[in-house]
Amino acid sequence: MRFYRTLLHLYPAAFRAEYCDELSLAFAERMRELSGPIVSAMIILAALADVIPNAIGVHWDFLRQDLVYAARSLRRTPGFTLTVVLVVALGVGANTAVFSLADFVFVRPLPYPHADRLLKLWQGDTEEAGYNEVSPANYRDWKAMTSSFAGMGAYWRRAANLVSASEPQRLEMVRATPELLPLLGVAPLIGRFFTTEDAAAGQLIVLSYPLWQSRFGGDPNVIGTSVRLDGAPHTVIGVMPASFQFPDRSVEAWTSLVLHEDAFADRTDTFLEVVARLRPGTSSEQARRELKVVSARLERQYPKENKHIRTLVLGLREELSERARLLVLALCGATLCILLLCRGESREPLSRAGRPPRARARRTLRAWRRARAAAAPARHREPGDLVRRRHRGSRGSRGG
Amino acid sequence: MNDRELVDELLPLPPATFHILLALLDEERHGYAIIQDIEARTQGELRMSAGTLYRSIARMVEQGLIAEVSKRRPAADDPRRRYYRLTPFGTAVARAEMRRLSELVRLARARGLKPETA
Repeated sequence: MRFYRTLLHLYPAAFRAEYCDELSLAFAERMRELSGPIVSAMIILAALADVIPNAIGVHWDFLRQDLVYAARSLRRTPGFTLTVVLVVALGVGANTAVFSLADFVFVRPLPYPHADRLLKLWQGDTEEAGYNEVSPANYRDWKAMTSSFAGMGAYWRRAANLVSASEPQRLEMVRATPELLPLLGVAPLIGRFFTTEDAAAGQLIVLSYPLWQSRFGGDPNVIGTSVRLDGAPHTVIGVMPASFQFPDRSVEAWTSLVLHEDAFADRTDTFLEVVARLRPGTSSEQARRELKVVSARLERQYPKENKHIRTLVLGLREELSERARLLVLALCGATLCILLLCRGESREPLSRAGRPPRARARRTLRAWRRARAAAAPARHREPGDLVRRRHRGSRGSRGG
Repeated sequence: MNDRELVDELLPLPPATFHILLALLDEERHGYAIIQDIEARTQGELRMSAGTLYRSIARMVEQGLIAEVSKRRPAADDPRRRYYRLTPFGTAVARAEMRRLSELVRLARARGLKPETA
């Protein structure tokens, strides 16, 4: 019997609380009828055959009852139902959006080999909070005066109008120094990157995979095609793989950035974003220390322009996270509130309908009595009368 | 919802439910007595398990077909036993099911179908 009582845990707790003792008693009485040499095995088999299908059935009955009562309750209150549907839809949508963002910011690896060795460099003022883009002059000096990095490149974002065979299109794009794309470590799908020699000539463009597909129909002969960006002719020299993105998915093309001598004249003109890859065997901490020394030297060298200027070094993911963390945390908080609200709303219909079974039975009986009274008031009797009437009727029919 | 609709909503009854209603027609019974009554009435054809019985009882109490009896029991009876009785609504539903089954049988007879002989 202990085995049977253990099996009873397969039933829903509410059912077990109501019928566990009776079930055990009835089962024990049933088993007393058994005899023979393999009674124990028969009892175990009987217990399994009894409990497993019925426990599943009771779970299904309970679920069906809850759904039916919830549906009835919601049908009676359309305004409430609409609110529940809207709130749940909002919750699901918000949850999906935040998950996508959190996945991108916190979970998914960056699409570059050894992305943990990629750093973002910023200018910071020791007297102020926050950090800024880098001036071309400081970028050039950091690059020349450090040895911690295998490569360092710079870029700035801009939007441009692309004109080719089809309609003009507004593009998010990046102008990058020739060092930038190679140091990310992803080779072009077709074609090549621009080089320092190309950069001097300018007017070259590397396409993202989506742009190549949408604008050029994935034409493998796109290399060498001429397009116009803001009126200036550019030659397509490469297409990046579908998995590649930099600095984010919105950027659809990369053109070469040429820093002419006049760009280095004003050390306070900060507009470049700088990415560097650590040399093998060098830690980011070593790079930080080296840049600290370089910054101090530049401050001494340019006391007016570089006063209090320090270098801020962040991992590429860290940098993304830093910028997005507050936003994501705020969204997560908002989503949590919405989910809690959804949970409350979704439970409400069940709790509205979730009266104890006997109360529902009484309600059914009351409804039945009311219906009978309305249909034939003279026939209305108390419950006991009806049972007695049936007895009389059945005896009568047997007698006849 | 009127009288007829409330009853018809539950038809057709599962065989186990109809047998339990029949078992409680003439007296209040506890679970095991219901099992024994059904087995006796069907000449051992239907041997209901405890699980099937109490799953049906739970549903029938929920539907208002039967109710637990709160009266005093014989002193020698096992205190774990609970007795059930038919409600007036349960009687009405049993009658409606009987009428439904009778009608089916009548229709079959009208088509010339005869019961299988043992």
